[in-house]
Amino acid sequence: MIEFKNVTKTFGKTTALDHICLSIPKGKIIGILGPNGSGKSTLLKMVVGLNKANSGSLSIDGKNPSQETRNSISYLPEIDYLYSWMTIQQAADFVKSFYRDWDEAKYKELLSFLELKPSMVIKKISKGMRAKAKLLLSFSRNADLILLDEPLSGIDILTRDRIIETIIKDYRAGDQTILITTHEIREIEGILDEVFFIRNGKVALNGDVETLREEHGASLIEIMKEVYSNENSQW
Amino acid sequence: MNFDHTKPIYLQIIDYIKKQIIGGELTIGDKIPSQRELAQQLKVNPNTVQRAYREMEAMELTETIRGQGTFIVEKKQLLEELQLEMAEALLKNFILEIRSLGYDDKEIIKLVEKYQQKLGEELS
Amino acid sequence: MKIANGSMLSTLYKKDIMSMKLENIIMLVGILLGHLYFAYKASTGWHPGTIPFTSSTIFSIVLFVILLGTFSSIRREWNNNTIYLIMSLPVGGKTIFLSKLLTILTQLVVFGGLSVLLGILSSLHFLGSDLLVEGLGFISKYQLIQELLKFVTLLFIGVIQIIFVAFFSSIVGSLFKRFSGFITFAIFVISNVIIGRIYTEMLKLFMHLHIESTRQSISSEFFLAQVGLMLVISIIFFFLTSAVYDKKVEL
Repeated sequence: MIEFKNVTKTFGKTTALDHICLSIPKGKIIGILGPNGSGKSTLLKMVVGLNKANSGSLSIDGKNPSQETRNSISYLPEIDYLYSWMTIQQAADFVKSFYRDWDEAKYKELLSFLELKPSMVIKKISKGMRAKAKLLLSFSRNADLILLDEPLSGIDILTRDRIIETIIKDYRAGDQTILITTHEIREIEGILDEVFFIRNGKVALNGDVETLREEHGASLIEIMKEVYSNENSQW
Repeated sequence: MNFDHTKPIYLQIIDYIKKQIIGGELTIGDKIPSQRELAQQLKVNPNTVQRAYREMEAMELTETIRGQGTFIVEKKQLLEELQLEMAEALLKNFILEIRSLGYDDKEIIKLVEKYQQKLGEELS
Repeated sequence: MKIANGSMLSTLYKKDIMSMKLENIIMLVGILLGHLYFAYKASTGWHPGTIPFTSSTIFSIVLFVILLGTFSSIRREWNNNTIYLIMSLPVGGKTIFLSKLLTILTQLVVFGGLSVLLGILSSLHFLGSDLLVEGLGFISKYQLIQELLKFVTLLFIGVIQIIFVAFFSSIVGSLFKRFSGFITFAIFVISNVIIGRIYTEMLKLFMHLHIESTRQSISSEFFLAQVGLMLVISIIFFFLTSAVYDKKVEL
């Protein structure tokens, strides 16, 4: 569904992705894991079109990333990217008018599930609530491809549980594809179908998670430690 | 439900269903929750639940009837089979570990009887 | 799966207007207070003749603030990280910059218009309505209405051109991590210099072809050529800006 063929991306002197080859199947929840700076966020940004490859090709269902492919993508960057002066309802009205796949019933349901009120002003609520607001806007759509960049970073434990529940709650297995990048594996590994470990801009290890568990007799955290043990990783 | 991430989750889901049968919450012929429902209940990826259901179907623990749902097979000895299966797994681990402590098989049986008695006293 | 461009444009427009809420309020208050202050001064000792000058000054300041706002309306999307939201939307550069153009034009019409209106009212109040009658007579006597219209049209298109050059400079500036403000300023200045050169060449061309303006009016051919050129340059900058945004900008 998403194909990275020999993609290289550099920022000045830093190489974020180094002739990377990846094939992301449709309909699964996929983890792109690795330490900070391994190129995971860049990978996601390239799918949305926020970064362009220096060389190699990237295709989404056979097409280059474009205004058209963005119609069915829901992207959640790690940073606060909403207009902070807006209320949650204003932000929803804003997003809603760009996508046909907005689901108003889901929006209302998620509002109460995430304990948010439409009248809340984004710059006035706590960090955890802002993270939930971002998630609310993303998941109130029936997007075919959902990209979550570090969805749990800086979030307290209770909110993390809520976020994970939200991700799988209405997930359309086989239809929807969810890509999650994180360096915090513990909570996420339970919901991943497949995983790609990125190291130095390349894929160090990838596969079906359950199979990896069986083969290594270990959790993803332990497998990851193996993968990155030859270098200074920042866990 | 907390899963052990060092082992495949779909196998643990199957164990969960088996334990429900052994514990009496489910009996033969009972309908089990839909894949979606179970995924939400256990807070697990629906794809993983799907894998578990496929496997349970393959091992003839469950059967799916179109339009109606998934059911535990109508097999009379199912309960006994599962109990035996679980017991064997526990026994295997137990015997291997106790043997590694140095006891021989006769001593192991004596130990078991002794501690069965002790346990009986503690519980009453 | 596509939403009509028109409704996306109107959503962006509403967002852009509301983003500048604080500036708009400050400008409104500034204009009102400014005119009140000078009106107060004129009625307590200053010569009434100062009114047209002070009003013009306020108007110039308003224009300058709006011009600065043109740059900041783009810069601010980067500073607040909302550019991540905008760039991930299924909407292209043309719609985005069209919305920003409309926002700036709205400000010009509302605040520029308000400033002009208050200036005229103050002038009438302090210099008497005879001035107005004289002025109107003068204009119609020398058939200056046509000239006035031509002048206003040129001004309007000129403003649009400046806005697009400002957008272009901002977008090019955003391509650079360091010195982006300086680069924006430099590109803005250089572009205007180049455009000025083009107009000068055009003027020379006209003089060479003996199509002259009379002393008091702009000849129609020259006027049309000027308008046409300004439109072409504006459109070029508009498309350049959208293209750079669509193809080159990265986060």
